[in-house]
Amino acid sequence: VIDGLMIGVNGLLAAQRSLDVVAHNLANVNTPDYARQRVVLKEAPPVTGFRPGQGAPAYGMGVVIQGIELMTDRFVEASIREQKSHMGSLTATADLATRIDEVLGRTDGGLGDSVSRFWGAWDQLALTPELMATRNGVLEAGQDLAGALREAKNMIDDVVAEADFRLRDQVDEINTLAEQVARLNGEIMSVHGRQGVAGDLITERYRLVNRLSELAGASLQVNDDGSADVLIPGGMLVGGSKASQIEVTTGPPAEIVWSDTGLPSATRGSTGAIRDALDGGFDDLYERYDLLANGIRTAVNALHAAGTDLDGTTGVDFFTGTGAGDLEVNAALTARGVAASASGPSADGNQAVAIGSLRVQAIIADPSDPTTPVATASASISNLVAEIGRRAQSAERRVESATAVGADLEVRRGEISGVSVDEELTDMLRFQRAYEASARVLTSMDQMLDTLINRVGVVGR
Amino acid sequence: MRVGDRVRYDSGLNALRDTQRQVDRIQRQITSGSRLQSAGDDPTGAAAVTRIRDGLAELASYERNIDDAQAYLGVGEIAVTSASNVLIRAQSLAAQSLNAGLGAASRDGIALELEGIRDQLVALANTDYLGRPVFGGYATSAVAVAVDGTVTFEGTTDGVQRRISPSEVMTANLNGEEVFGFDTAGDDVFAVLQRLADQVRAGDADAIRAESVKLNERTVTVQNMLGTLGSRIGRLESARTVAQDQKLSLDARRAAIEDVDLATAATELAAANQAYEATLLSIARIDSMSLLDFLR
Repeated sequence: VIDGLMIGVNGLLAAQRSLDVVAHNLANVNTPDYARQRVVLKEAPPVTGFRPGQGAPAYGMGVVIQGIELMTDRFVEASIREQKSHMGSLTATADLATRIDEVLGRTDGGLGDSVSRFWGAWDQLALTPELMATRNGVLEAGQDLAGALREAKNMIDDVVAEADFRLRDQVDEINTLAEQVARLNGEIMSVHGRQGVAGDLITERYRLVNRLSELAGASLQVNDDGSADVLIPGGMLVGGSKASQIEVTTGPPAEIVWSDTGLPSATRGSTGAIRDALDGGFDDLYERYDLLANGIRTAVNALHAAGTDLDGTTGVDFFTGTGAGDLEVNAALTARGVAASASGPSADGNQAVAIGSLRVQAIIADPSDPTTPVATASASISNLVAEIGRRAQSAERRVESATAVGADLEVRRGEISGVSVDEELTDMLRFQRAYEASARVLTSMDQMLDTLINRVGVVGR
Repeated sequence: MRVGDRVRYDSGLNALRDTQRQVDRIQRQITSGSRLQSAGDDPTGAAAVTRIRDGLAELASYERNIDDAQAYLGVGEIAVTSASNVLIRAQSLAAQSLNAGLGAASRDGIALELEGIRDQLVALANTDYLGRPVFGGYATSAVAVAVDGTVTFEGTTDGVQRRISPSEVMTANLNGEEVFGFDTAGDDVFAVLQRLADQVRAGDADAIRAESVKLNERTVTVQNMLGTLGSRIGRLESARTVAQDQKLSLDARRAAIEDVDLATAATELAAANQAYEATLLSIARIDSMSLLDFLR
């Protein structure tokens, strides 16, 4: 009878604990990345060797809680980390491409219009070369064009500076996350192998490492003692309860190094993508704008220097500068100084005609051969716009398809780890019934004891 | 297959976000009137639009040049027509003066009229368009200057060039030296008229005949110039037609790439809104089914 009481109590405890876990699961139904837990029940073995040789069959001692299982699939988790790393990299690349597209990919009011207006101003000057108004018009259109090219370069500079700032910010976050994972590792190791529930700590660790994967392309290696090492392509970021720190060198180009040794490290994920972009990822854009500025400057200057201004002066440059970043209209140039005339007379606008005709001449070189002009300014800008647009578009498309893959993985993870309210409610019913049944066992045991203690031996009393 | 509740809600939410983004995208297109917010929306289209815009600006330049050349040549045409008319009058005066019955007073009158015609021609030779003599090349002041009855050419023979198409340059002014015969040794139209007037006064019939022949040459030159002018102006007209046609077709291409077709956009918007509503409905349904509703 005493055994029966024990068994009943075990049943009560098991049902109670199981209900606790159901409650925990239900409470966390909306917690991001929560993995559901399940009480693993096991029948308690019979107590043997207690009643020797009586031939009574052994019976079990009820139920015991073997542990609480965390419902995760480490392969799915690994796939998710891999996908997060990929996604982090794609998103960072797409962010940069979109930023560039937003500032430089405009089809109206952009550089293309400035160049068009510049040629148009020369065309206008050709009609009335003796008028100060049209001469000033050329100077203003030139300043506008030079400003637009400088602005384009500044915008790339801004995007680069932003990317650099974001890289440093994310590396700080990586270091914080690594510290947290190391601390969690310590806690998990201290309860590992004991009855303690490490499930929530492990979920938390998954969550942190997922973010690390996104930022740095981290992967996870679980050790026998329950701790987990976090690896980034450059080496081990967290080993057991010890975290290493990484930092970004001042550059350029910015490199990722280990803080303690200064040796080079490497990351994937968003920081990897940003670092790669900072290491020459914008060079071709800079070069294209420089080629554009140089092509226009060289062609216009050659014709302008060959022309004659109102005072008979020749050989003066229209533009000064060495690239897109410092293109300026020659500061010494006045309206009278604009060389519109081919032969000298003020009414001769043929040099302006020639400069205006540069609109349809190949004056811009291609990066593949920076010394040979192959395209008109308009075609060159058009190619640039197309290139910028294509990059943004393809980066966004890659993000889109990767997002779909990520959603599929989340569904798979949900199949294994997600909390289903209906399922938990069913479990709740089940454990509630089990509790009631165990309580009934106790009641009947109690009645039996009552019979034994209070009724036995009163015959004839 | 188990489906976690979070996944159900999340996928509903994602679908909602996607449809919302779609609605937002179409709405932005409709309000801005442009299908291209940035090159990323349509790289090929954006590149084409960039070139088309420059092409349109180029055509605008040609049209401006054509307008200018036409006005320039128009002024020249009026001057040359008047010159031709007065020269014909001078020819008939020269013929009249050969009439043997004319007295000295009549010849003097003819001579005076011839001198008047010469002065009129000087004024015509100085005709200007927006302050620039149409016969003077790059000159900016009077080109035919009369000093003590001798007229000299002060202009240049440069052609004022106007680009009227990618391949064609039109001379918008007239070569005064050629029109008025300054390129001949002393036989420019002014000198011929002066000599003619002098001979008419003197009554030297042979000399008058000799000068008349020269006057005829000058008149023919001026009349030939009228033909040249006519063909140039005709050429300008056809260049303008070409430029305008190209402008229309370029603009149509730009519009096809860039402009939002409101009818299509409105239909797309309605479809996107419908998808949005359907998503909302399905999310509402997610919640309506739960075991909780059946447990007492």
